[in-house]
Formats: sequence, structure tokens, C-alpha cells
Amino acid sequence: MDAEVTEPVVVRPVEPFEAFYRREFPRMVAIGFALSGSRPAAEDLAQDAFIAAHQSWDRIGRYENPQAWVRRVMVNRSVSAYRSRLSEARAILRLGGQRQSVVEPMDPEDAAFWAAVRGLPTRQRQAVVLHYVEDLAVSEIAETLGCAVNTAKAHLHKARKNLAVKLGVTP
Amino acid sequence: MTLDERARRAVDGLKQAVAAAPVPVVRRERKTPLRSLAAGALAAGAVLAVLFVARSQVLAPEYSDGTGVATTAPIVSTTTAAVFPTTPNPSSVSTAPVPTTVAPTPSTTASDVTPPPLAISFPEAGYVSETNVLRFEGTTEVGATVSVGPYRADVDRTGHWSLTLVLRPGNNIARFQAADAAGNTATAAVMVEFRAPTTTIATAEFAARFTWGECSLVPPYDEYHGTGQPGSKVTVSSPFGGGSTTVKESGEWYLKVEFPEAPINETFVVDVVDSLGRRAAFEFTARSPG
Repeated sequence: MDAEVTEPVVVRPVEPFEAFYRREFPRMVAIGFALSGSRPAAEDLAQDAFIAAHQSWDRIGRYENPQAWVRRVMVNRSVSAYRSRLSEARAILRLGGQRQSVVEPMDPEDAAFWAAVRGLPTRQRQAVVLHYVEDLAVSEIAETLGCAVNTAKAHLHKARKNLAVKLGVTP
Repeated sequence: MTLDERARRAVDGLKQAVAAAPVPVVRRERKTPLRSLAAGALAAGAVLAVLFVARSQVLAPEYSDGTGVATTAPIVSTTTAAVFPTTPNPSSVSTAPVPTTVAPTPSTTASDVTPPPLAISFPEAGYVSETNVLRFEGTTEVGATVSVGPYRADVDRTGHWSLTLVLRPGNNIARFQAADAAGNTATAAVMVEFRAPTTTIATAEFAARFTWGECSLVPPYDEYHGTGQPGSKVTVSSPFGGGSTTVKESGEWYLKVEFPEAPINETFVVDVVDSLGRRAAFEFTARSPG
């Protein structure tokens, strides 16, 4: 019998946590800011998610897509208004106003867009943030939110419709 | 303007604002500073561990949450050099200053066109690995860097290098590149096979972990994950909700469980068991929403 030759795969190293953190942190802060509207809360949400990843990096670092794990943790944690408020309070207490914010001031029109996003119901807000900020497919949004693809599709559809009305633009 | 155009603009603005700022130190709360720091650092690597201890000694008293118990310390120090690949810049060769500690012998840096030697001492070509994580080792020129894609190997002062890689089932090619200070490069590759042993499947380690432990959402939920025998069933059960899932080929499993009827602020036990009868138990508490 002839030996079967398979296409070799290039091996993927376990990325050092530090490199992963430095690369992905700004992306996660962007998601956090879009969801919470608060810079300290966004940074704190991102840090908490990275800390969770760090604690199990031996396992999470081997995932095909560890950033998806961090993203899901962030999105889940941002759901609770209580947690967001707590995050912000903790951030303020810890830093005493001395931490340099990661998010710089933005254009008023952009700020208005994100304010409109934050005015959406929770699931719609999450779906639209993942769609626009992370450019995720509906199936990936569904996976992140832990819901069915059709449910994610419905959230995204309603979110876009509501946003268009709020902003006075064509859907 | 359409919604998508408006959104693209807003996303660009957001990403620009975020990208322009530095990545801060990650802090975490801890109750036993040095012990937890060391444990966390070991997971991230030996180099990080040194930084952890060094930084914790300096920063531990600096941050306090006001309780007098927990303090915070950095996971990644802003003083740490990022481990990113560097592309040799030929134009910098002739202008690079000679380090002051170098003996005053004629410098050959500018005319060095010899690629660094690069050898892979382990594994040998055709090696069959029974685990998906393998440590590659070899030798190169002292002072040279060795990398696979964007990932750098650890190179010691004798030129011995090592890098741990994750293999996929089947044949895998690891392509290493060595680069010396003059920008000369050499490459070497080795093909190895990852063949999961059938004998260890029956004894694949079972592990279960929870994510939250409490939840203030409606319905309250927790996420459970871990490792186990591929194909085996993992069942999560409690008086207020449960579910089951199958362990993936990778040996990992994940399950989100909702506890819609869980009483507020009452802690109950959640049992996790796999089809081989191995068990774990956790506590969960539903909190008042909002």
C-alpha cells in the first residue's frame, strides 16, 4: 500500500501571554468602550478579562482563537449594569484619577453614534458592537453571545433598524 | 449617509483613539501577594515570573482597594520589552554603534555576511509525538535570535535555543529562522507527526472549572469548562438547572448552564460528572439583578 502523504501544517506556538495582551488590549478596550461608554470601565473590563485569561493561559493560550474567549468574557461581564458601575467605581478608587486613559477624546459625531448604540437593548447593543467593531460574522456573534444564529441575526437586524431611526440615516 | 458608512466612520474614530494610547499595566487583586504572583507568573513563563516578583515588591504597597486586605500588582509591566519579531534593517548595519564593552578589536559587523548556523537538535525529522505540545531545541550563533513566524525562541548565552509549539494531528512542519545582529538569516525546518495515542484516551485527564460562581442577570447562569476524554459526555446538574455536552476531539468541553429558578443569594451545589464517573462540584449563587 502506498503511504498516504498529507499536507503538513505549520505548527502554531503557544503565544506568550504578554505578546497576546499587548496586541489585543486596544481591541478589547474599543469593545468595552462601545458597550459601556465609560473609559475607566472599558479599561477595567478589558483588564479583568485579560486577568481571567492569564489565570488559565496554559489552556486558553492553546486555543485556535484565544481572543474570542477574552471577547466573550468581556461581553458577558459588560451585560450587568451593576458590574459596569462597580468596575468604574473600582477603577476610580484604584487609580485616584491618575491612570492615563487608553481612549482619547473622539469626534462628537462618533461619540453620538456610540451613545445611540448604548441606548439599544442589551442584546442588540452587544450584537451591533461585535458586528461593527470586531467585524464578526453572525455565526461568530451567536457564539460570543451564547445564542442561536437566528437569534443573533434577529438582534442585529433590530439593532440596525433602531440605530438608523435614532441617527436619522438610511438603514 | 447610510448606517454602515456612519458606523465605519465611528469605528475608525474609536479604533484610532484606542490605538494611539499606550497599553497600561494589567493589575489584579490578590490576597497573598508573592505566592499568587509567582503562581501566575509561572503560567506566563519564567521571564515574566522574574518581572512579577521584581515589580510586586515595588508596586504592592502602591495600590489598595481600601479594604486593607487586597492589593493589586502588574501582570505585564510596561517596562517589559514586547516579544515581537524584528526585521533586520540593512541600512542600520554600517551605522550601528559598537558597544563600549566590546574589546577594541577591528569590528567585522559591517562586513559580516555569514548567515548564523542554525541546527535543530530535537526533535529529529519524522519524530512522532504522542502529545500535541512539543519543545523544539537546537543551537545557533551566540547572540542570534531564533523564531517561528512572530514567535521568538529562548536563546541562552551558549546559543542553545528552545521553543514550545502546539502540533496539530498529522504531519507538522516547523520552520525556524535565525537572524544575527548584522541581519544575516538562516532557516531550518523539521517535520514531525502528532499521533494521539489511543491508549491514553481512556485515562484522559478530567478537569472541570467554573467561570463566574455567581450571577446577577436574568436568568442567572454560569459557564463550565474543562478537559476530558474526547467523545465522553459531561453532565452538569443542580437543583435549579443543568445540561450536558460532549468532550471535543481536542479534549476540551464547555457548557453554559442557566439556573432560572435559583433563589436569590442562596448558594447551592452544582455537580459535574463525566461518563467515566469522574466528578467535580462547585457552588453557585444567584444575585439580585441590577
